[in-house]
Amino acid sequence: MSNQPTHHTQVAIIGSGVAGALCAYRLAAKGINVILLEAGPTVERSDIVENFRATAKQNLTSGYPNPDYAPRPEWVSQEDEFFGSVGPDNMQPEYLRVVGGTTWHWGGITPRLLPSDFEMKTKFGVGHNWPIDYATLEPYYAQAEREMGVCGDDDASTLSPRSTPYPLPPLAPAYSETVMLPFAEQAGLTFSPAPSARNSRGYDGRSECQGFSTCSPICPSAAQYAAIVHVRKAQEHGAQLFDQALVDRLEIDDKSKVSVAHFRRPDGTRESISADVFVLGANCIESARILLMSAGEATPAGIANSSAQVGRNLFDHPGIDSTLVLKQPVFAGRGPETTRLAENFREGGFRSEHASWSFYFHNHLDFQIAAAEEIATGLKPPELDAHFKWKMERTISMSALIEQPPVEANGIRLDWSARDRAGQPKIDIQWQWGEYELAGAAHAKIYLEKIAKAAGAIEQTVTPLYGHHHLMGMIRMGENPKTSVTDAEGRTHDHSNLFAIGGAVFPTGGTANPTLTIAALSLRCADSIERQLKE
Amino acid sequence: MGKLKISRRAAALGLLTGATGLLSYRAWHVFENDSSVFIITDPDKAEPEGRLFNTFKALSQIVTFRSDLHEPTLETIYQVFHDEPWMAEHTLTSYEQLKPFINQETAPTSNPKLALGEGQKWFTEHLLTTWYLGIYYHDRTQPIRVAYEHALMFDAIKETQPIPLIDATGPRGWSSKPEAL
Repeated sequence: MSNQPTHHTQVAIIGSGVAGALCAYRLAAKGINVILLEAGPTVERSDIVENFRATAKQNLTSGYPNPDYAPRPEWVSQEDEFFGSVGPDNMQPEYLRVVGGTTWHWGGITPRLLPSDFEMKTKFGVGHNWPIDYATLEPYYAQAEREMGVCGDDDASTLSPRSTPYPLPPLAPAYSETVMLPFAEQAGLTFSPAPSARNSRGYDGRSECQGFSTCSPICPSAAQYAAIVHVRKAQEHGAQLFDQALVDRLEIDDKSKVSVAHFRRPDGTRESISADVFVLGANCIESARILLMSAGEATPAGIANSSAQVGRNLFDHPGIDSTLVLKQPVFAGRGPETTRLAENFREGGFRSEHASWSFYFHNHLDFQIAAAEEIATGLKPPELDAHFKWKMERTISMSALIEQPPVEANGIRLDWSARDRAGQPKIDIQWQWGEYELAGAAHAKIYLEKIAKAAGAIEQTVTPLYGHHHLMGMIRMGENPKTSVTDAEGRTHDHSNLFAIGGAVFPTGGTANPTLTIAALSLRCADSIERQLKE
Repeated sequence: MGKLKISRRAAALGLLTGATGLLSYRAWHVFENDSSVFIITDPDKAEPEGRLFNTFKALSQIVTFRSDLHEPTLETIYQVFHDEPWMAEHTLTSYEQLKPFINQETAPTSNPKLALGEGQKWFTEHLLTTWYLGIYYHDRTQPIRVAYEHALMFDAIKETQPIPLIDATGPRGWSSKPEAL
């Protein structure tokens, strides 16, 4: 390997998901030289759609590449060998490694955090406080909503005060939601339009939602926002994209600044890049792995890890789902996956005792699993056809998305004795649900059962607690360098030219699906980087 | 190529004799007044080299209860099954065992001889699963996608629900009942 970096830029951003793409776009639009590095390949929407139709595996990631040079976890697969050990409780993180990252397939729901979410320790004695408050982030929430094209109802919810109207009006409710909302209201929940990064009208050159109901795994029409939008915009402003570039090591110089990022190409050749500023936005697991893999003589615990907090405090949004079969048709599987949200239990004094939760109906059907279950009953056509149709018309799912405070023990460790397909050390995950979120789940379950009863459901199944794949933590921001990894801007305490973005920097996650907050923090971080470069 | 008639009532009984008594009863109950007839391919009228394919086609028609199966999908499924060493024997035997139902306008209320053998019961269920899900599952191989929009599970629901990644309601069309209603 040559000692001379093969590339140089002002800002090198590692990871091209929503955090990296927005940061790259914002900086490139200011005339700053940016190189965006992505471990995975560039993909085209039409190819993803075609892949899903062609593959026998039917899960939310099966249409996306999983190459040896940038492997990723398989979707909820017990046979997956991507991770080493996981436990004691089950956790199956999921993310994509492609240009544009995991927003290729997501629910598109974009609520803001609540003001109290930034002060959990002070208000409820739970978790940690953020080093910033809601008011500080609010202008960036507004910018993120404009960039992504968020639709919502300005008058619907006052939990997160707004300085600007939503860029788009709310989506019309799905017929299934129209049928179900009165039952949920009987159970005590109230609903408002879910803020969503999904076009209720044409916006930013993308079409109005066409109602495919396949928001995840993929929106065929591009009406739902995906970070590829801002990867392309960043390129239009001069940013360079290096795809298939697996960053596996950062180097620091004698001034404790990050000087070089080393990366590997699919054919095994190695390249490196020097930059004035490095930004780590490769999702919380991969970002933490890069920092830990970069351990050296001066930084034996890894880069940016003098606090020993890198790789700790991993958290998610736990969930419980319930699937109902009703007497009357609801016709789920038509239109956006979710358009309405119940926020009754996102906020309240109870948060000192148990987790908060939000609630939504899931207007999506898994036909394949349902058909396999019908066949397994022994039914044959034509009765099979009639019964399957009858059941699909009457099936609806609902979900509670639950708060989970971070605990230091939940996180990752690298197992240098085992390697993944790219030759990187395998990741062991320490994961255990806590009493706080389990109590929140028990509270939510009461309401799932009330709704089922109000609706007169013929069948009801309730899942055990699972993760929403909203990975957060492990490079958390904070005021104290001894207990956090970055400052309030995302700048690492240990290295003044290394920033972190993405869910990794969240101290807590409330009950807001994290993407909008990731986007807002990323835009704010870009402004900080711009100021630092000027200084 | 010749065509054969099969009554829906007769085929329903024949295919369900291997299922549980309750399910058989339910199927019989549903179709006891149904004397409709549909047409299947007559494999005996095919040229010798095409007999296995046409028997497979006729069996698929009986198992899926459809005369108008999508021909390219049929050819794909036939090819995947044809790679199995047991395919020909199971196809011919299953068809022979179901043959008594063909060209009957009605079926007897009970006839122990109508039951498929264990191997043939498994085979016809395997065939049905493949057609219905559009995926070929077998221990010998990784699952193989043989059809997407022509998987019969979508044929069952397409009047009222869009086929994922193929159909959409159109803007705001999701707020009202399906147009077919």
